[in-house]
Amino acid sequence: MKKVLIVDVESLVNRFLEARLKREGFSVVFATDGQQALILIQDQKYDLILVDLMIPNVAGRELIMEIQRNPLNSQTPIMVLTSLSSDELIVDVLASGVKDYIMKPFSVNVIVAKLKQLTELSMDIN
Amino acid sequence: MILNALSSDTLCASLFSNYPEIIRVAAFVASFTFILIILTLIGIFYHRVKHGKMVRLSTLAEGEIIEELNDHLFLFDSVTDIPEADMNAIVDKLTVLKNKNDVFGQSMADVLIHLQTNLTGSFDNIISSTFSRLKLRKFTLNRLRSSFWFLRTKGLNEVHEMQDGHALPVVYELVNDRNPDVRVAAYTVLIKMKTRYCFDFLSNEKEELSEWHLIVLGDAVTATENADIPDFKNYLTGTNKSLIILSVRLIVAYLQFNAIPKLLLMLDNEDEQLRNQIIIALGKLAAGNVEERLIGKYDEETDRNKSAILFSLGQIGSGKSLNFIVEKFLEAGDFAIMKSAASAIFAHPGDLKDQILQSLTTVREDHLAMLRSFS
Repeated sequence: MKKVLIVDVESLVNRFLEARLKREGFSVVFATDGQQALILIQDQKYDLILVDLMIPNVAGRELIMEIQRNPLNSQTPIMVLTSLSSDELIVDVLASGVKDYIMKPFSVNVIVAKLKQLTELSMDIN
Repeated sequence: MILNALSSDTLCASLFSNYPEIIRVAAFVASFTFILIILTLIGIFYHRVKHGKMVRLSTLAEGEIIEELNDHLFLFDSVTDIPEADMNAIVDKLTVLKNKNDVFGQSMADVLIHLQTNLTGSFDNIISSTFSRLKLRKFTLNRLRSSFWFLRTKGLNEVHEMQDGHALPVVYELVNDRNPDVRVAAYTVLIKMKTRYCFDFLSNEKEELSEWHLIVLGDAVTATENADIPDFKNYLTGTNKSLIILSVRLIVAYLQFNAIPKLLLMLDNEDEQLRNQIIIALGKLAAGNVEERLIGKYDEETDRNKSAILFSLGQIGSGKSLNFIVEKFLEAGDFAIMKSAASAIFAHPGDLKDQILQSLTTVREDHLAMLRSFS
């Protein structure tokens, strides 16, 4: 079972996404802030990490750098969720090694397809 | 409780009967205040408990509703993929859940509206079709008719999110609401739902709207795809300054160059803020033939508008006003004017800008610092 860590605030949409991903065969772990995410990445290797850039406690960008420095998850593909549509930000985030991004509001079908694609890619590489 | 209060007052009266009148009055006021404080604390405690219970119940309801939706409805990619018999069976199940109690009904409406707002793609039509079949509109209508303005505003957002055309008669009533936030939310719904007379508020609204309202309305117009955009110059003659400003901004957003002659006439308007917005608009429209007129107005304008004129001349960037901009840069005492002039110089195309910068060899230290900050 592919393990996905979603770092985003608690919301109905995320509860819905979690249920949908579980049905698609993912094992989903939620972190509702950056601090919690930092703890979770120390103990477990994930197949994919989905990070909202606007999360409490640790800035999304900072968290991405921490994940990339983490020995367990440095090779884990990261996908970014954002409601900010600035080209500059997206280019910047992609340049930092993030594999893909999804704009909010998102389509669940698209997000599931992207997660499948990235986790398969990551498994192939491993 | 009231009886207790009365009896304690009587007790106070008998206890203090031998004291001077002022002491008796003070004792009465003190005991009355004490009872009021106790009653208030009990009220606060009761509402907190009630609210906590409601939150727990709604969370439970949301969980059950999401589970039902996931297990039965969102297995399909589109409403057309769901066989009619299956859809009816799903709706029946959800109706049972909805009718459990009012909290479940309201939560179901809230969950569907939330998902509709925050998800895109093929689920859109499943959500709106389910909302309609479950007859959840009544919850939105209840909000539209609420005595609380924030609930009316929330209801209006829901009408737009669910694209509920049947609720439009109530939205039209709310255009005359006493609260400006509700009126603006109603205008926004009418714009986003592309109703026929959605821009009538530009000539009908009597109250000056706040800057926030103008931003909300401007965003509603520009974010609505395929809206039937009117000629905004027709709304420049009204008496509501805030809506004239909105019209000027929309002229810029939709590059309605035919409004330039009317905007030029309005440069003589007695309102400084309005002139400021027109100067900015002329710059954004990059209307080359207005430079002379802007330069002619410069000396009689306020410092804020002088800055705006220089900034606009920079945006037009034809090069014809470059000497004027440099002159104003060199003589500027006001920081904002100096900054606008420097920004105007740098807004010009490369060769023109370089020529000017090379000629500015012997300038004051503060001018040099300003130029450096732009380069």
